[in-house]
Amino acid sequence: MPTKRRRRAKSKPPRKRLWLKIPLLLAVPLSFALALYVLYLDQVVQAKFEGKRWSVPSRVYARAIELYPQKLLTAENLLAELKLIGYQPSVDGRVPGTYLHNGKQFVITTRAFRHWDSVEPGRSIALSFESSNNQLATLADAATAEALTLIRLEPMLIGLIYPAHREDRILVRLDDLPSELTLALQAIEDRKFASHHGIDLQGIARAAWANLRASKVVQGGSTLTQQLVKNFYLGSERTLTRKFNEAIMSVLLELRYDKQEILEAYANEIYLGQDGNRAIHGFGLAAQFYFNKPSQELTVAESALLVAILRGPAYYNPRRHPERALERRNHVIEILWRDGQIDRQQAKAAQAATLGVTPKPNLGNSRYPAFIGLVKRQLQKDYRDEDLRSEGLRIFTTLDPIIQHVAEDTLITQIKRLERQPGMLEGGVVISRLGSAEVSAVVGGRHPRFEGFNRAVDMQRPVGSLLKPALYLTALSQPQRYTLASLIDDAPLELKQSDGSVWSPANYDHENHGNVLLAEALIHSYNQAAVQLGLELGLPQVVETLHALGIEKKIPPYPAVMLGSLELSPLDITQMYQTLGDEGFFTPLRAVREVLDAKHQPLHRYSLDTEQRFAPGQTFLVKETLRMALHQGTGQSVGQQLPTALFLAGKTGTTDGLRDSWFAGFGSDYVGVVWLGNDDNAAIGLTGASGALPVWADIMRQINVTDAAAVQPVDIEYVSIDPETGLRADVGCNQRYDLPFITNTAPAEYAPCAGGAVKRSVGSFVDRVKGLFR
Amino acid sequence: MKKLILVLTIFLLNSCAVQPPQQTQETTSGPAAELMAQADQQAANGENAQAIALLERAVRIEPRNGYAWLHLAKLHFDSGDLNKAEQFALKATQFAGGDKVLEQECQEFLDKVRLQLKQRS
Repeated sequence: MPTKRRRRAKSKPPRKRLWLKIPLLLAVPLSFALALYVLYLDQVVQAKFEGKRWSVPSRVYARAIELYPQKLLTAENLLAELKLIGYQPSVDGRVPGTYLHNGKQFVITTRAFRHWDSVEPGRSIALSFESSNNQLATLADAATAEALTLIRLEPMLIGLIYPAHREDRILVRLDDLPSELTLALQAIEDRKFASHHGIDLQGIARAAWANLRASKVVQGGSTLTQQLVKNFYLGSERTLTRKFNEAIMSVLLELRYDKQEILEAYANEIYLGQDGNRAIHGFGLAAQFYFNKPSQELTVAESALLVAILRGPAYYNPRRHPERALERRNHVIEILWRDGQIDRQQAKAAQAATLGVTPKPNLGNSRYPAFIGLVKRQLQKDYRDEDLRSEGLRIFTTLDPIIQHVAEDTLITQIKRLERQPGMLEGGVVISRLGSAEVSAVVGGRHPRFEGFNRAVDMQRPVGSLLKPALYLTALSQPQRYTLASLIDDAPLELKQSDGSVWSPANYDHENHGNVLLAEALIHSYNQAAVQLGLELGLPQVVETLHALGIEKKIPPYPAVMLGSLELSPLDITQMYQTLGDEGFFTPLRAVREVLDAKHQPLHRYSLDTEQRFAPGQTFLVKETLRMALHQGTGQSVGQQLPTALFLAGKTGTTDGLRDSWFAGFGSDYVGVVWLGNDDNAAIGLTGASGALPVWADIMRQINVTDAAAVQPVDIEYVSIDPETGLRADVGCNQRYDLPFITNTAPAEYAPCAGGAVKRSVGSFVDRVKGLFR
Repeated sequence: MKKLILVLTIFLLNSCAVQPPQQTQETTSGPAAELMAQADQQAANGENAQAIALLERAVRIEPRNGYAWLHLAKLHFDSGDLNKAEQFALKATQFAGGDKVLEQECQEFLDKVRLQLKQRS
């Protein structure tokens, strides 16, 4: 083109030629530059639109509750669960996400949900509870009354792992939005959307005229495309350059992509509210945020409200300014009716509807920061932090919100009761499930909503006597050498340390108990007997047992380790007691079960794994002794009030100067570990029995519901033992312990009190009785 | 008198505490049975990972169901994970209690797994 012009220009007179030359000389490079610039903008438009458009936070879910007849569950807990997953009460419970509750009867309509193993269909179900025991009695399809075997509710959303900018959105496709919503959007924001090419010159003129007349900005002339370009590619500054870029990019976007794609991007990009420092973007998330439902379920009135507030999400905030929001919503409905998109009756009904906004979900800051901390820790082994924050993963965890709340409430109440100075005492709790080793609850401190120091996971403290069961397990793993009836000398001892100093461990009651049964030594947590036994066994053997039980930390082979100088976290102790409680099966603790990608496709599963590290008989002996310790020994102050049907067993831990109070143990269903102490390591004046034990017992009493006995291995027999001699006892003996033995390892001889011929020199009788009462 | 009470308490506490092992019987109804059936279907379609996930759900719901654990062990065996097959079979054995049928089934399965483990090494 330019060459043609030049040729023509040659024929013109020289004067005129010069006249024309200047703009022409300028026009060539200018249009070339403009063309280059447009090409560049086109690249920008394409790169973002075709690449990953948004960084979407990962969503973290609790375990989904499974419902089946005979499940041990109370009506109160089911109601609590329904509230936690955001279901709303309604007149008949027949609308998805609603329920009807009447005493022991429920009607619930669930929503379809994609789990890792299968899709759980949405349906209406009718449930009833038995009034006598805490069991789900019947479960049926509410429509057909057909009995159901098993259903899962949606899991509770417990937190988000955000990108740095803290924008949150749930991506939707256009098909996921009700047509009234997209129609209203176009009617209000951009009437010519279907026909324009990115900019609407008429619209701009109309807006300019209106603004001129009002001498302020009352109308915007921006098309949806321009709004998208502004939010998506450009900043919010009001400059001519930006307006220029916006116009060109809008035209480019329209040239490159069809209307549907642009509208879908707009529906996901638009800012619709604020939740603390979390920005709510897109209609998918807005539907959840304002109505706690998926966008597909939005009614006409709800769709109109979302369109109404997008002009000013703060000004029209329906929770803060319901009257403003209602007025504008009804205006939107009016326009939909005038445009003929809905009929008069629909419009009337929609305008009469309440705003329908649910209470604000508390998700801006995670509800369970200590648990989420553990989740991140597990995921960090397989995922980059950046991916967790931006890929929109769906993370399915093992958190049981009901147990979490029991643990939180109990810890807070008990801490207030136990502390000597208000605000001084801190605590940490971990609860895990026997069998699956899934972590059900983590409490990181007395302010469980506050994302501070996680005492359950990140804190390391000396553990006192909590490691002693490992010592006894080491001994009992040699059944020909040690049984629970073996006698061990609880005498004072002095040990020379490598630095030349002398270490002489003492008992908590500062008394010597002479020869005691192995069982008694553990039941009463005698320190001297423990060190004596450790020396007999050899420290490396005990350390090996601790590692086999699941303690990963490097353990220095010092005798003081046996009395708990080792520093560990409540989570470490949970792993150890999990192995003890699970009959010697080591199952790594897990907080995450599965990860799905943003499109709900399976990505990663943390499959159940287990390894038998001890013969069930050996751990059974330790478990049984710990059960006796709770009811007759160190734990008896609280243990005697606990129902024996729950098969609770555990061990106290107290550290020097009463700085740490621990209790670790298990029941029929769960392992629980409680730590109490001060952050600055000051004395708290509590022993394991007077501090952590009541907290533990209070939690375990509420969550262990099965009354099934611990499984007794086939090679176990019970024999009555005389504690003076460690030999068989009968009715003639003053005291007797019914102790478990691995078959054929119990003593064959009878004690003198039981008519046996053997007489042995043992500690005085008075000492022994005293020991029993301690 | 005091001594007598002491003896009685200790005796009673100990004797009532541990019950004989429960009989676990293979059940054909209930949540675990339903999940086992679903898992079989998935496994038949070659979806072993899904089948294992379903079985893990079953043992979560009924952690003392020895049959469910053995079923899980068999699925791992079919997927070629002999170590897991062995460990879950051991777990199943532990819950067999007095159930001779299950006990024998576990033992036969364990023998098979261990033979393969031996051949492999």
